[in-house]
Parts: sequence; C-alpha cells; structure tokens
Amino acid sequence: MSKTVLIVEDDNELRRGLGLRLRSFGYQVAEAADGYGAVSVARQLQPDLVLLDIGLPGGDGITVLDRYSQLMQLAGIPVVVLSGRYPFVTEPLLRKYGVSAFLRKPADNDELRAALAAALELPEAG
Amino acid sequence: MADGATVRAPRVDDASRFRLLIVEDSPSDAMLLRAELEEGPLAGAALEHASTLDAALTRLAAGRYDAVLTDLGLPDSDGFATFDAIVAAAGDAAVVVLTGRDDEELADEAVVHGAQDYLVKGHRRPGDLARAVRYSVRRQQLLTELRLARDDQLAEKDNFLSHVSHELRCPLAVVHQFASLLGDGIAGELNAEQLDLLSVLIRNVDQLKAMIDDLLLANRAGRDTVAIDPDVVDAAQLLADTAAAFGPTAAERGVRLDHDAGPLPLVIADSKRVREILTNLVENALKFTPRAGRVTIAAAAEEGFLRFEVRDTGCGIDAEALPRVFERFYQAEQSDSISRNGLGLGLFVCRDLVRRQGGELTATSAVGAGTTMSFTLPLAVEALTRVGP
Repeated sequence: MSKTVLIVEDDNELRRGLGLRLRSFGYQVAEAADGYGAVSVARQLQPDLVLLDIGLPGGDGITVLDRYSQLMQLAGIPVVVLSGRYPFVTEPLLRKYGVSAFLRKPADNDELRAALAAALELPEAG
Repeated sequence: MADGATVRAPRVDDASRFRLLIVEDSPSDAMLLRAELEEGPLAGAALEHASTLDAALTRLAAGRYDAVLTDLGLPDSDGFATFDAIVAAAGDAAVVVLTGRDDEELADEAVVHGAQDYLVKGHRRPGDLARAVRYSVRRQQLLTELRLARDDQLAEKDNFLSHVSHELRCPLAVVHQFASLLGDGIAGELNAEQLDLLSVLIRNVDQLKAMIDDLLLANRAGRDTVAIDPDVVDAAQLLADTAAAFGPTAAERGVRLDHDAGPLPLVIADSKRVREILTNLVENALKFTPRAGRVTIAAAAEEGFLRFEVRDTGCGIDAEALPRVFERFYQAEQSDSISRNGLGLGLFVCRDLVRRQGGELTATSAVGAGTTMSFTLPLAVEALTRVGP
C-alpha cells in the first residue's frame, strides 16, 4: 500500500505542483495550507510523512519547527522540511524535531524524491 | 536620521553641558586648564581629572564623555602608547591632545590617527582652548552620526536582500516544478520539439536559482560584517554532518561521497562558518564530478593546524584558471553539463572566511584528474591541555 504524505504549504500553486509531483512518485497526498489545517488533517489521516515548508526569513527555522512540532504533536512521524534559507543545523537538532532532511527551495525533484524515500526508509523506486 | 526615527546617544550642543575628562599629571597645568575652561562658553561644563593613564582608562570605562583632553607624557605611559590607549577607550568622545612645544610632531601624528585637535601648552590665546574643544566635540559627533547612519543603511540593505531572496524563491519554485511536471509528461507526453523548448526554460530556471543563492553572498562578500564567533569546535562532527547533509544529493548524482569517520583534534573556529565553507566546497565538488565519480571529505593534523580537504574525481581545473578560482565573480567556463552558475562568489567568500579564522584555503587540480580544495584551521591546543585531568 502506498504511503501518504501530508504537504504543508501556504502557497496554493506550489502546493498543487508538489502534490502532482509527489503523486508522480507514487505517494498518496494530503494537503494543508498552514499549521492549524495540518493538525486536523493529520489527526484524521495519520500521514506517514510530513513535507513542511517553513520558508520564513529570519532565524534558522528552529523556532518555527518548535512551534510546528508542538502544534502538530507528530512525534514519530518523519518530517522533511522545505526552506527558503540555507540551513546550517546540526544533526542532533534535526533528530530532536524528527526532521529527516532540509531542502532548499526550489527543491530539486530528484533530491526531493531521494529525501522522501530516505525519510520513509524505503528502497528508492526507479 | 533626518526624520529622528531613531534615538541615539543624546547630543549636547550646549557647551556648558559638556562632560570633559582632563588627563594631566602636572597639577599646575591641570589647574590652568580648569581655570581656562571655567570661563567662556564652557563655563558650567562637568570637569573631571585623572593624573595617570590607568585612572583615565578607569573613568572612560565607567562613563560617557564628550571630550578627553590629554597630555601624552604620563607617569605610567608615554607618547603614542598613551594616545592609542585613550583613543581605544574613548568611545564617541573627542580626543584633544595637549602637547609641549617639543612634541608637535607627535601631536600632529595623533591627529592623523584619530585625535580631533592638538593644543600647545603655554602658546594659546584666550579662547583657543574653548573653541578647540567645542569644535572637536562637534566634529566627533558628526563622525559618530555618519557611522551610525552607515550601519543603519547596511542593516537595511541586508534585510532587503534577504527578504527579496526569500520572496523570489517561491514563484521560482512554482515555475521550476510546473516546467518539470510538463517535461516529465505528467500532463501528457510531449514531442521532441516541445521537450527541447522546455529544457531551455528549465535550464534558465536553474540559473535563476543559482543567482538568487548568490544574492545574499554578494551582499556579504568584501565586507567585514560577517561576524566570526570563535569557539572550540569538533571537526569530526562537522565532517559527519556535511556528509549526511549531502548524502541524498550525491546518491542521486551517482557520485560516491566518503568522509573521514575517525576522531579528530579540536580546532578553534566558528562552527557555523566552517559548515558554510564545507557546504560550499562539497557542493562545488559534486557539481563538477560526473556519475561514478567520488568526492572525499577528509581532515588530518599538521603542525598547529588541522588541514581539511575536499577531493573530487571531477573534470579538474586547468593550470591557467587555477590561480583565478578565488577571484571574486570568477566562474568556470560554461559547459552544457553544468547548468548552475550563480554569481561566482563562493570561493572568494570561503577564502575570506578561512583567513579570518586564522587559516588558508588553497586549490590543487589538473584537467581530467580532479580537484582538491584544502583549508587549514588552528588546533585548539590550549583547550586540550585545559581539559586534562
């Protein structure tokens, strides 16, 4: 059975594009435009992974991650983060928030595919 | 500043409200100065007195002054050493040098190095002292205002470029994704010509992305404003983190990424900057290494330093271009297989960052034989000995 990815992205068009792309990778896709929407969707659907866009300027994204992890209480669900900023974060910090990978926007589709598969510990398809 | 939006240290235009520090070891000279200052436009100004450099520095550290009037020959210091110490401690206070007839050359030198004026003892007319102090304070205030205004503008420029860079990424991500969705046939198969046109589109989107990546770098390059925050750094952890961060990218490019996994001596460096440098070098190495190639991140101790290396089995750099790779804006020759060019700033900034941490960044390479980028950072020898039993 294919895995479900919850895309949390506030830009409508990018969310649509990512949805199409992830479906082409063979994933089921659920969508949310913000943290609050993400929580209610996540509670209903129990996604296997969250693709989270935290493209906010300023800071290193950790404050945002903190807010999201509290909001979503998704302990145990792997998170792949899309960011507008180059992250220089440490592995322990990534692990603390369950973040498997940081990708910089615009994400290279092959990198995205590899990051999702690695986060879900799947052998890479194709 | 014109709109008064920011409040800085209060400006005192009224000379009678100045706060002055007199640094003079001769009691009679000090008395004469006080007498002169207590008449005329500076009457009413707060006058404090120190007779040694040490006492002066203590007062300067404890309070804010509008001007420091200083003799350079003090019991605990002499000549330029006095001057340097006073200027370093004076903050935004104007420094006026008091000199004997024989020391005019020294005093002149002081003005070149930051004093606002000098006054020759015993050869002043009434009013000279007051005028010199008032105008020195005024000029120093202007310098301070200029510096603050420049800092404000630079901060604003930083914020603006950062904001622009982030804002541009979103529509860029949309264009990139939708172009590649078309190209991958998600909305139906394309014919050869359509695919060709689309490939031009995608290549230019990649170029835009690289240029935006460099937009922030361009802002920082050549300025000393990137803070270096040195600390004791675990190099082995940095190597491991970098290798982990680039794992997926290397895998999808079919390039083997190795790193030295053993323990390494500690170094003194800014870990954030070292991550940036390693990221830049590994990114370049992956960019220029074809499938089935290899990139290795390694480090080994040398005398007093830890030498880091990022080695690749890529196309290499020819002898003519090699000395130029660290130039600002230098870019490798455009090649069809390399679609991302950016602004060519990466190595220029990296070398600057390495140097400011006490090391050096060098490149060795040959066409067809790969490239090795190598940089050094000082070992944390003292830290090691402190951590002993």
